[in-house]
Amino acid sequence: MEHAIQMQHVSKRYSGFALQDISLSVKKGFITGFIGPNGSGKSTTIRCIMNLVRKDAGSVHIFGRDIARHEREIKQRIGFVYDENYFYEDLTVAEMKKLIAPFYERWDDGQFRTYLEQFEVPERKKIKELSKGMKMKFSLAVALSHHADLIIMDEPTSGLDPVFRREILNILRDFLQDEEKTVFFSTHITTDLEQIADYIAFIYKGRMVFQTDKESLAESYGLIKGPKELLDGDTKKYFVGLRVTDNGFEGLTGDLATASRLFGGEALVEKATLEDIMYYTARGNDRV
Amino acid sequence: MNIIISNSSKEPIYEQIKKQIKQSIYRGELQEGDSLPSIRQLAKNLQISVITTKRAYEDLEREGYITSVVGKGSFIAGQNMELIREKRIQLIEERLTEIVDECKELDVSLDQLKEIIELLYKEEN
Amino acid sequence: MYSLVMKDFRLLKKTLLFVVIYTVAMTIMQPLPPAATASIVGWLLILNANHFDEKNRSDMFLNSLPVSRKQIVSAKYASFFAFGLLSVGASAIVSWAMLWFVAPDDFQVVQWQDFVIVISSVMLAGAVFYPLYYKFGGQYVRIAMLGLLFLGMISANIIQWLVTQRFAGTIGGVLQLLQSTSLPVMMLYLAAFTCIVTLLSWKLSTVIYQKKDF
Repeated sequence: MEHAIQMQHVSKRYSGFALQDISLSVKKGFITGFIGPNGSGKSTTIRCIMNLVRKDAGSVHIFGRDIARHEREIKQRIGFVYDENYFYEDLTVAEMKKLIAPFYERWDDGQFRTYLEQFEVPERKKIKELSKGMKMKFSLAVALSHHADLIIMDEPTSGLDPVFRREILNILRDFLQDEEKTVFFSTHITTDLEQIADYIAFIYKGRMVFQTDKESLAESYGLIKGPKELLDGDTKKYFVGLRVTDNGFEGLTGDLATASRLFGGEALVEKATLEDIMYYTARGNDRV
Repeated sequence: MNIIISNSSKEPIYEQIKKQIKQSIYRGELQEGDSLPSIRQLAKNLQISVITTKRAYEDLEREGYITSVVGKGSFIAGQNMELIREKRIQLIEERLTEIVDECKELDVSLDQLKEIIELLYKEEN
Repeated sequence: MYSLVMKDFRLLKKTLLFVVIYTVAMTIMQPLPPAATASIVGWLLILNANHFDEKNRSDMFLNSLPVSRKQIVSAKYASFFAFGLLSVGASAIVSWAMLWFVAPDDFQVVQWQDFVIVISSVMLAGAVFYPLYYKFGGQYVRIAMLGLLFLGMISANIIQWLVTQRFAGTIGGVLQLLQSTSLPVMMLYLAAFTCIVTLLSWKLSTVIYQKKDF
C-alpha cells in the first residue's frame, strides 16, 4: 500500500465556496505538506478526509480502504491535531485523557505520560487554563499515544512561536523514523514545510494546483529578477506570476530550465521558496 | 562522518551531501564496508527532507561509491584505487589553481612559488 | 458506546454536587411529588450535558475519534435512560432513608411507578429535544424551549378553557377511563408509549446526524 491517503475527484459545495475535483495522494512513510492561502480549502479537504463532512462526489481511501465504509477501524490508526482546540475546556488534562483513552484499542498510557513530561504539560490543569501552545502539545501527545500510523494536522502551528514550531517539527521527524508512519500537515506557514516536508500539495481556490516532491519543485520553480525590458509577449508566457515595477520585474517561472537559458545572462535566477510559489500562483491567477 | 550543508548556497543540498561523502572517501576517512546512516536518520540529523537524502544516496550508488542492501542500510563500496587517486589529484589541481591565482594577485613569481614548494617537500613531517 | 455515555457522566462530575444537594433537598422538603422533582433533575442533566457539547463544539472532536455517527446518537439516547434512572434512583434512596428518620405524615416515598414515570418523562423529553437540536442547532432549540416553557405556564388556563368548552365531554370520558384503569396497566401503556416515541425519535436523529457536516 503505497499511499496512506488517496482522494479521487472529491467535490464539496458550500454556499460561496467549493472544493472542485480534488485528487490527492499522500505517500506512506513521508511528510506531505498541504499549503494554500487562507480560504483555499485546506480545512475542508481535511474534513472530507476525516469524513466530518459529506462530500458531493468522489472517494477517499485511507490505508487502502474506503473511509465511508471502514470509518471506525481506520480512525483507530489516525491521530489528529486540529487548529481550534475541540476538547472539553472544563476538564483537566488528566480527565480529558481518561475520556479519550477508552476509545483507542492501542492506547499507550506510558507513551502518553512520557510525552506529557517531555512537553511539560501539567496534568492537573484545566484545558481552558492552558496556553495555545500547551493545548497543541497536549493534542499532539494524544495523537501520538495510540500507535497511530497516520497523523493528520490542520494548521497546528499557527499562533505558535518559532521555538515551539521547531520542537513540533523535531517530534514529527522522530515519528517518521518508522517508514510505516505518515504525516499530513496543512499550513499557511510555508517556512515550516521548507524544513521538513518531503512532498508538497498546493491547493488554491478549491482546486489542486500541484502535488510533487521537494526536489522536483526546486528543479522546476525559480525566481527570475531582471530589467523590465526583457519582458515581451513571448517571454511573459514562461511566468506563473509577475510583479513589474519601474525598477524591474520579478517573476516566478514553472519551467526553470528554459527560463534560465532564456534570461540567464541578463537576469538574476534564484531559488523560489514555497511562499514565493504560493504568492505568485495566487497573483498570477489574478493578473498576468 | 561530518556533513555540513549550507542552505544559502546555490548548490542543491543533495549535491552538497554527495560531494562531502565523496571527499571523505578520497581522503580515506571512509573505508570500504563502513556503514552510512540510514536516509531517514541522516534527514533527521541534517533537518532536511528524506527525499533529499534519498536522492543523494541513489546518485552515489549509481556512480558506484556506495551500495545499499535492503533491510541493512548503505555501505561504502569497494573503490577503484586508481580512480580515487585520479580524483584526488584533480582536487589538488583545483586547490593549486586557487593558490596560483592568489600568487598572481600578490605578484609572487613562479620561481618564488617553486622555492616555497621545494622547501615544503624537503621538510620531514 | 459505553465510553460515549461515560463521557457525559465525566463531564457532569462538575455539576454532580449540585445535583446531589438539590435531589436531597427536594426529596426531603417535597414541594412537589418526588416523581416531578426527579423528572426535573433528569431534564436538567440532559440540558447540562448538551451545554458542554455545544460550548466546546465537540462534534468535530467526537467524530474524529474511532466511533460511528450511529454510535454517538445511540449513546445520547442511552444517556437519557441513564439520567432518568440516576435521578429517580437518588430520589428513591433519599426517600427510603427518610423512612428511618422522622418523616412527616404526608411524606411521599418513591415507589416503583415513580421509576416508570420519571424514566419515561426524561426519555420523552430527550426524544423531543434531540432531533430538533440536531436539525436546528442549540440556538433555535433554546428559543423553542423557552416558548414551550411559556406555554407550559399558561397551560393551566388552556386546559381550563378546553374543559369548559366542547371537549368537556371527551375530557370527562378520558378522565373516567384513566381512573378505571389499574396502575400497572397504565404504567405499561406509558412505558410502551415511551418506547415507541423514543425509538422513532432515535431513528430520526440518526438520519439527521448522518447527514450533517461538521
